[in-house]
Amino acid sequence: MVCITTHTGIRFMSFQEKSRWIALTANLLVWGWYFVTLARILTGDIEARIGDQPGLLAMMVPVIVAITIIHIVGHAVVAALKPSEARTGLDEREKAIARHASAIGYNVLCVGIALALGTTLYYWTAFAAINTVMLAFIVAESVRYGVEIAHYRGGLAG
Amino acid sequence: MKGKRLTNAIRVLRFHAGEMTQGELGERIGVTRQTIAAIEQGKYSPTLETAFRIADVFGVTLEEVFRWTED
Repeated sequence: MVCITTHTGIRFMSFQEKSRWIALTANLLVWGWYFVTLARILTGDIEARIGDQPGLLAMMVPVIVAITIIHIVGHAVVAALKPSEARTGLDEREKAIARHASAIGYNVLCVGIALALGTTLYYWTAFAAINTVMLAFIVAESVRYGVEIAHYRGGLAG
Repeated sequence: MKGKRLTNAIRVLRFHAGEMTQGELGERIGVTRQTIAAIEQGKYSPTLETAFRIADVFGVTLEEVFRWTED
C-alpha cells in the first residue's frame, strides 16, 4: 500500500528554511529592539541625546554583536543536528524561491528608500538618513526572509 | 492554462523501487529531500532537466512520471 504523508514540522525543514527562520528571528528581535528603543527616545520616553554619534554607535554595537551571535549559534546548532544537509548548496527549488523572494524584497526596498529620502529631505539630518535607510533595508530583508519561508511552507507555484 | 495541473507518480514509483526514500531519490538527482517532497505534493514543478533525471532513475518515460491532468 502506498501511503502519502505530509511533513511540515521543524524536523522536516531543509537547512535553508531553518537558516531563514534564524535570520528572520534575529532581524525581528534585535532590530525590533533597536527601532523600538529609538522610537522611545524620539517620543521622550527614554532620555538620550538625539544625533549624538557616540550614542548611536553605542546602540549599534550591541545590535551587530547580537545579530552575529544569533546567526553563528543558530546556524552551528542547525548544522550540528544534520551536518549532511548543511554541506549542500542550494538546489533548483531553493534557488527559485530565493529569486522570487529577492524580487519582492527589492520592490519593498525601493519603496522604503523613496520614503527614507523623503524623510531625510524633511528633517535634513544624518541621524534621520541613517535610520530611515537602515529601517528600509531591515524591512526589505525581513520581507525577503518571510516570503522565502512562506514558499518553503506553502510551495512555489510553477 | 486554467483547469489543468501537473501531477506525478513519484510516490508510487518510489514504492515499486523498493521503498526508495525521498532522501535517496534526491541524492541521486541532486536536490534535497524537501524538494522531492514538494514535487510529490504538487507544491513545486521541477525543471525539465530534473524531471528527466527523475524518470531516468526509475527507468521510465517522462509521461509515466508526470501528467498534465484536468483539475
